[in-house]
Amino acid sequence: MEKELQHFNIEINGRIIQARSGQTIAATLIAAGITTFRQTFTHEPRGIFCGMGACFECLVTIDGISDQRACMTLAQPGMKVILNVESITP
Amino acid sequence: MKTTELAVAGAGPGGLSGAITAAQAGVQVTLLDEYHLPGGQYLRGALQKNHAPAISRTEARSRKLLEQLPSQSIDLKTGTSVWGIEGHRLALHSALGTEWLTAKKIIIATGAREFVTPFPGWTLPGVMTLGAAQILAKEHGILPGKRILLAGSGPLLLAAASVLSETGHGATVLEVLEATHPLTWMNHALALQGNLDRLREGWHYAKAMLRKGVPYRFGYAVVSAEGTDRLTSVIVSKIDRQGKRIPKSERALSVDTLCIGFGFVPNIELTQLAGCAHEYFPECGGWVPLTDETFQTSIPGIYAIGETAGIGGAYSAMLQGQIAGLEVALELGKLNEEEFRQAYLPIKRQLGPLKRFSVMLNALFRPNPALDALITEETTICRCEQVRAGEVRRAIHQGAHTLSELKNWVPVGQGHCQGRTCGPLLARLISSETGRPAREIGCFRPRPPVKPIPLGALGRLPGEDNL
Repeated sequence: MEKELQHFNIEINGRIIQARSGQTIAATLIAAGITTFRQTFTHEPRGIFCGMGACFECLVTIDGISDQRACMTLAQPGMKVILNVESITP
Repeated sequence: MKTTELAVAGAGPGGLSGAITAAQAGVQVTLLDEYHLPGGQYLRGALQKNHAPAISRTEARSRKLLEQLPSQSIDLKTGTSVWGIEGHRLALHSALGTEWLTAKKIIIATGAREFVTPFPGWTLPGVMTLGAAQILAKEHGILPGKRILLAGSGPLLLAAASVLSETGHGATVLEVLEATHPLTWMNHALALQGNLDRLREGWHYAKAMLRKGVPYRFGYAVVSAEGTDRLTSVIVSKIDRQGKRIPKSERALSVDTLCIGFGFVPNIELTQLAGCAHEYFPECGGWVPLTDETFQTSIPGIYAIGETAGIGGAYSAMLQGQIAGLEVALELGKLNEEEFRQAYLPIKRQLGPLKRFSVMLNALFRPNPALDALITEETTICRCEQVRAGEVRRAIHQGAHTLSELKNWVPVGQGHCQGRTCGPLLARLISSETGRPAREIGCFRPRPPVKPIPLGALGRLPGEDNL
């Protein structure tokens, strides 16, 4: 059941990043080398931890809706994702 | 309000098996899963790729269930969270909104989550569970870093090590550190009887490790993870058979990724919300709903199967799903007693050896309480609210001897994860500080919504009485 992979762009803190159909936001970020998804209220960096929707560490804002789990949300063409970080690396 | 004869929460191997068994007997089935694809964690990536031959009977059989699913008359709702349960009504949320689903029978097959014993630096980006790394590799074909260290204990450590080593992409799995000592394994050899398939799977993974020349070391634990913006190195130490650190055996490894896990904790939020009776069985992975021989809980018409009912692996989950599915069909009059018995008995016979094996695994790889000595006062315990071990231990010494009491002292278990990560950790800490048995310490009581939903969605929930 090989599905044809489609490539498209999403926006991460204003930067254009390529995503693939079937990829979660978390996988898209990791593939782009971005490991810090947010900062806590004391500015501790956090990234993906459980990868399966249980730990809520990978929360990001997607198309204006805050606290979405990056590991459970599929990347869609044109999505605007905001990471609560001072700057995205790399 | 929508109705169905059988609602199955969770479309992993157990839920798939229960749903298909019941549907084939003529039951109207609605199968729910939070992820956008069915298959659960065990079958991540199984729909996307053409596959190498299955490495075990378990994998072959679960993949077959996934292939059969589209041809069944089952209402599959993926991307749908079950966030509440009230009597025989399930509260659902998806991109389409919030709704009730009333079911005559409910099978809860919500699986398990990973257990990680904490250490300083475990919240740094680059530190993740074995499952998280395995999902990235299996489903998305990517690796979480370039220099990867794997640590923890148990079968998933071996499986993840094999999958990550074989994914490649210019990344290196430096070492695999298993906390237990092989000599302690010998005490459990009897449980291997009748479990050739499980051994075959293990051997397949071990061969991959040998082929790649990745060192698999026993009797090691992670002392700390270092880095400011992300993980840059890990300090590891040898530990003895009692789980105590061996002095002067520390070494530092320069890595960008640490994948770690010590087995699983059953996801019992829905059986708790439904009011089912639970009991603490360490050999089942902790608190589990009590079930009878057809996996019915103490609440008539509500069944719990697979990891939810006790950590036992995918094959066991599929057999339990079949049994619960048959029982539902019998209860709804789709099968007669004779048809039920003929189908049920051969399945039931297979469960015995599997149960022995899983009890052995759960006992053998349960993280040694002595590992808690690695939790320094500054180590974060509640990741959501950033409560540190020092504060937790102080509260315990001041008299917080159950999880409910602890919650009144320090703001643990009140963040986004609702205590999923810290709950079992806190219970261990209370136990090691006070010597009280886990049974008396209790577990967090979930409140709806057990998965987050937008506040606006609640207002739009049809019906007179909201949860």
